[in-house]
Amino acid sequence: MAARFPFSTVALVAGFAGLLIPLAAHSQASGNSLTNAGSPPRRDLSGTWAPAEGTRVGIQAGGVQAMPNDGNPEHALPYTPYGLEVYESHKALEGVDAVLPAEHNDPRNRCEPLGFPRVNHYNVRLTQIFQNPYKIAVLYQYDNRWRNIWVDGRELPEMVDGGVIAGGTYKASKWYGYSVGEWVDDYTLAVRTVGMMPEDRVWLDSTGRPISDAATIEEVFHRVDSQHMEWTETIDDPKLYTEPWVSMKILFSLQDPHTDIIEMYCSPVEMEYYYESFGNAASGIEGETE
Amino acid sequence: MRNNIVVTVPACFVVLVLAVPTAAHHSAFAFDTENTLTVEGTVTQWFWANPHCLLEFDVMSDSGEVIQWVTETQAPANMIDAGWRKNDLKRGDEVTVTVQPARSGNPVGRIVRVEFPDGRILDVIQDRSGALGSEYHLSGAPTD
Repeated sequence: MAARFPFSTVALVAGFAGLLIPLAAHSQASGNSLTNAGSPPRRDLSGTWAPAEGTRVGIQAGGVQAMPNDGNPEHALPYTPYGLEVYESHKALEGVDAVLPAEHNDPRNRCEPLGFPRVNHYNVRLTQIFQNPYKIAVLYQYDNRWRNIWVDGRELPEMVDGGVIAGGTYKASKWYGYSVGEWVDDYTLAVRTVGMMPEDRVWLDSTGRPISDAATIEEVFHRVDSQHMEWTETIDDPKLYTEPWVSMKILFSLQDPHTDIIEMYCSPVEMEYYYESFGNAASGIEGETE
Repeated sequence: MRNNIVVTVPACFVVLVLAVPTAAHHSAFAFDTENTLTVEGTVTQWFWANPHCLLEFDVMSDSGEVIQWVTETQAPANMIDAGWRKNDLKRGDEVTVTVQPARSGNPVGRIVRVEFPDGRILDVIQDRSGALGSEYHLSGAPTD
């Protein structure tokens, strides 16, 4: 079963081993780790996690963490013609093509669900993971959203128009998709997700990069040691991108299990007030600060 | 209240300014990031909400006109981590606020510093190295 996952994806974990050692040392030095790092527990991702290098790493305001939308040619994405067309239709508030606050069309600003995988690229702060032998639940701080990763041996659903076939049954597209994981080894969980919402409902990141319902998202959760986990994401979306590309490689550190997480809801009322009172005035629209 | 606009300061907040956009909900280009503006006013509302908290205050111009300012900080999650509480600012509080002003010329801006009568100062700092690092820092002890 493990052979279903491309070697290149899993190999990313080993490829970053050199990076992880100093990062782990840095995190512990900053006082964020609980105790000295040791061997991680077998097949266990549970805990409360935070980006080891600080909050800004998870916020990803400038685009997906591994490929920020900063104009650097090395961060240019391999758009298909249609993918570029969709990107250009998005009026984002961040990134090199950002528009004024009053001119955006980001669904985030209407408090629409971020969907998956954008939930991996927007204010990823304290993240809780719970698991049992059947599934792993990932609980995100932003907007109290969560998703399940099935680890009960089921097959990845087959993508069909408007949804998936799972266990012989049609199921409609979901904001957070259908995720199936398998343990590659005792410390590495490989996950694939399909069946997300189409590109007219969701964005990939806050700079307007697109994602479609044809995407297969591959994630690798790798326990580096008892206090750290690396979370990697690769996007394969043939409708919008000509080839798969790595969008995220973030090291997380385990937090005190007593940590109480601050709510960070997206309230439509608050969001509307923010743009009416501040965003419009900043954009030069008169009479909106009264 | 005395003077409205205190001073425009170019460049001297460069280090602080660099930290401002990292958790922004929007691009910085709507704002003059090369200069800061300091104004004194009376708080009308401390809007504690996502995506960013807003500090609203009235400034009396030299001509006697009341100008309503709206300025932003960060998300409550960041502010709490920096030591803030939801009710730290109340209607009627006198504040001195330094902002990156909007290029539009409207009385809005991104907060670089807030000084309170009780001696506290909220300013922008480089992100802390911790997992819960924040970009705003509250310093100084209340005088009462």
